Amino acid sequence: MLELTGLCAGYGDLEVLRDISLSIGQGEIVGLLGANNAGKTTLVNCISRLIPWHRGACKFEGRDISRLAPHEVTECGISQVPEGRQLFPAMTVWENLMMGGFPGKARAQRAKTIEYVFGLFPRLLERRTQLAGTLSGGEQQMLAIGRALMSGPRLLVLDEPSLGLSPRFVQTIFEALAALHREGLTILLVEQNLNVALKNVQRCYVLERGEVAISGRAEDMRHDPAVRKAYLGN
Amino acid sequence: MNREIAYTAAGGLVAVLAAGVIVSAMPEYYSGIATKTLIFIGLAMAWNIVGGIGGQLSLGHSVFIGLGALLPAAMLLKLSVPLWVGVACAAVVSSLIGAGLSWLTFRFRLGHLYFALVTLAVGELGRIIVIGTEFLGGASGLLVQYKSWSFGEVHVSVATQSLIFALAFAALTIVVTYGLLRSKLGYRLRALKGNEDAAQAIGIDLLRSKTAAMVISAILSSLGGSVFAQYNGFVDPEVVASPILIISIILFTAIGGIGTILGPVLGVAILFPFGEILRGVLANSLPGLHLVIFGATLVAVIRLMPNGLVGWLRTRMQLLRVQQA
Amino acid sequence: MDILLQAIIQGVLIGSTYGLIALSMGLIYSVSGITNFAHGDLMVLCMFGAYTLFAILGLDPYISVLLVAPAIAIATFVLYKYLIQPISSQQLMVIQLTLGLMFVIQNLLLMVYGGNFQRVPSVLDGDVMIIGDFAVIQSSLFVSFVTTWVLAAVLFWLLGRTDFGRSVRAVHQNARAAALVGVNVGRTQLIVVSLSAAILAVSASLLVSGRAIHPSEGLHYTIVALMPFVLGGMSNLLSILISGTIIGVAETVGNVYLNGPLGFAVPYLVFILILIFRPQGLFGARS
Repeated sequence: MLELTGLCAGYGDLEVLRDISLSIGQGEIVGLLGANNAGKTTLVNCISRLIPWHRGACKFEGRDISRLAPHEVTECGISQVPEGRQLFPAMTVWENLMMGGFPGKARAQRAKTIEYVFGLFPRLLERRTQLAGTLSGGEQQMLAIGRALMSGPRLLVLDEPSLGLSPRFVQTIFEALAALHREGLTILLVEQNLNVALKNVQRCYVLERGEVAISGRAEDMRHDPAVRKAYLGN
Repeated sequence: MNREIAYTAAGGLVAVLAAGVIVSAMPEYYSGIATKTLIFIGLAMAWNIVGGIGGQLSLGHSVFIGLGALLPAAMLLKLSVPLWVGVACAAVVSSLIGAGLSWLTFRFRLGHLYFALVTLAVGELGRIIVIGTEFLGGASGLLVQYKSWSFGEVHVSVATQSLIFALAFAALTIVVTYGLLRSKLGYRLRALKGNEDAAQAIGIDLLRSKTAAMVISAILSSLGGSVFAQYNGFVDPEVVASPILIISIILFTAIGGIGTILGPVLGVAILFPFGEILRGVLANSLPGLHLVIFGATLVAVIRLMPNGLVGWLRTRMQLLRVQQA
Repeated sequence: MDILLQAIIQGVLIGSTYGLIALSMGLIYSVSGITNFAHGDLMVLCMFGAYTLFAILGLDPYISVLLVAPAIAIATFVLYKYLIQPISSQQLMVIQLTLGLMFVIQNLLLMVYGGNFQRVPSVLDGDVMIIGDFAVIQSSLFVSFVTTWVLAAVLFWLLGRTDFGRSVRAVHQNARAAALVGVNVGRTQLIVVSLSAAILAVSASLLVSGRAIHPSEGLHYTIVALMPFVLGGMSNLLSILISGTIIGVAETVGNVYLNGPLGFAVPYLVFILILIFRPQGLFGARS
């Protein structure tokens, strides 16, 4: 579904990612792991085209997305739940969700999709007139995911959804993700917490200092000492 | 870095002095333009202390220049206070206003845009107060008759006096800028300009440093205003106290390269005489054409050579060095 | 007392137009972080557009605005797209560029129209309205007031209740997230900028009635508008409008008590005074 080849990217002259290649099949849950500053968020922002690429190519569902603008990537069917949620703080829960449904195709379905999101996260329905900036961390994460779902994506990219959340909320979030996956949504999950990640994904890539160090099935990786080594440095 | 500063400062001084020597031998029309150019170089250097080194676009320096131009003349004509006392008073008042302005805008970190907007409003307030105050000449300005000096057999005409003052002023600003850049204050200002957060984290006091820069700049600008008044004889408030004056200076400096030492000198030295001559030639047919050209040049420079002429020259020279290596 | 009341009413009326000019600055700033120091000059350009349309076609400024507004919207669109947007991340550069622009516009106008004051006659010239037995106001000022607040109401409705308006607010609150939900940030900014220019053209035609215009007044209008802009916290449109009223009242009341040019110093003094106590503006947020 997503084929990324030879991606080199960074900020100005600084190269953060070197020759990254990965692929995600339809219906998979794939993890992107690695220690702090390995380049996970940069990679995800490259897929969303928020960061200019130095080199590389990317195909999504057969279509070349290497030169699209960020809003066009969303229109294609890839939706990102950014690190730190990045909500619209002075808008209500409902307005944030409405903004999620901004792309043309999704707009017609907005009413139905909002109902679906409220079904997935009943807490959001309760708080639909509350300003997003005043929600708790867990509620904000639910809203961020809900907002990303509003554009009807076929690939959902989540950047560290469990960051700063209580275990209870983490469980709620991952239960929702599992439900979404069962219904056919393809998911790319960036996670710093190794155990949480390996429990919830099928395959994963481990990034180390801007390069893909390891890739394989989650089951195999759970017991691979090389993975832990890549994670913790040396 | 220090060597580069030393070279450019020395170069600037030499250029200014050489210009002075050449010009003093020229017919009065051209020496007049040269004198004005030197004054504007000095004013640009003075502004650059806040603008280039401090990294804050001040649009209110017209207050200091206007004070320096009008207060001594007013005190002489209306209170019979000797000029040099008036000049000193203007400098003191300017430094106080500068300190106040700094306090107003830098005690909280409100950003560059805020600073530019507030200083612009203050500059305009200064112009309105000058025009509305009879003591400072009101809307009609002040006229001071300067006398030529005689030392025995040597006569120094008023025009030559202006040239000498202008030279001294320009040299002073170059020396002060050079000294500032090599001082601890200069180091602090550059750190703040590069990264305010990091600089404050290592203990650099934003308010104190910016205020020091502003006060120095204000005093120099005030002196420049006094020299300008001496050159002109008649002081027109719409010229000296109007934000337009300082904005023109910023224009020249930006084209030359804000934040460098040579930038203000180069920008003013190239553009100002050109503008004056053009203005003389086109006096009645197309008034303001020279300003259109300046404005358009600035727009082009910002888009094509963001670091100004000096920055562009520097990159060229680096490229040459790389090629030769 | 009567004179004071008259001045206050007048100030509220004229302040609404100042607020409108400042509002268009605020709109542009809130969506792109850009402040155009040639803003007032663009407005003077509109005023002279109205003057020319009167000279050639005999159009009343209240009518010619229908031609001037789209023209200035297009001109501003081109200006922003090719000159300003490419450097929009460097605030200091934008300020310098727009200062250069100010020189260009101001002096082009001087070259074309000369250095004299011009008048643009309008249908409301000399018309006054009498309120009760305590105030006499120019009809043109009253029209300005009503137009400003109606326009503002429409704008607030647009921003609050339509998809486009919501996308503008989204870009203001978090441009990155807006891009991620599918908003074309660059294009949204350009549309808002063009809209603001059209609003500026309306301000111009409102002011032109009953005032003499001059090519070099642009900077003055920029400065008069920047005060409500800053006092309103630069992005809060309603507080910008209210601050415009404050500045207007300060100006008219100042002129009652201080003779000559000094009366016009009062709004600036009020501005500085407010900033001493609330540097972030009346309704702004301290970061």
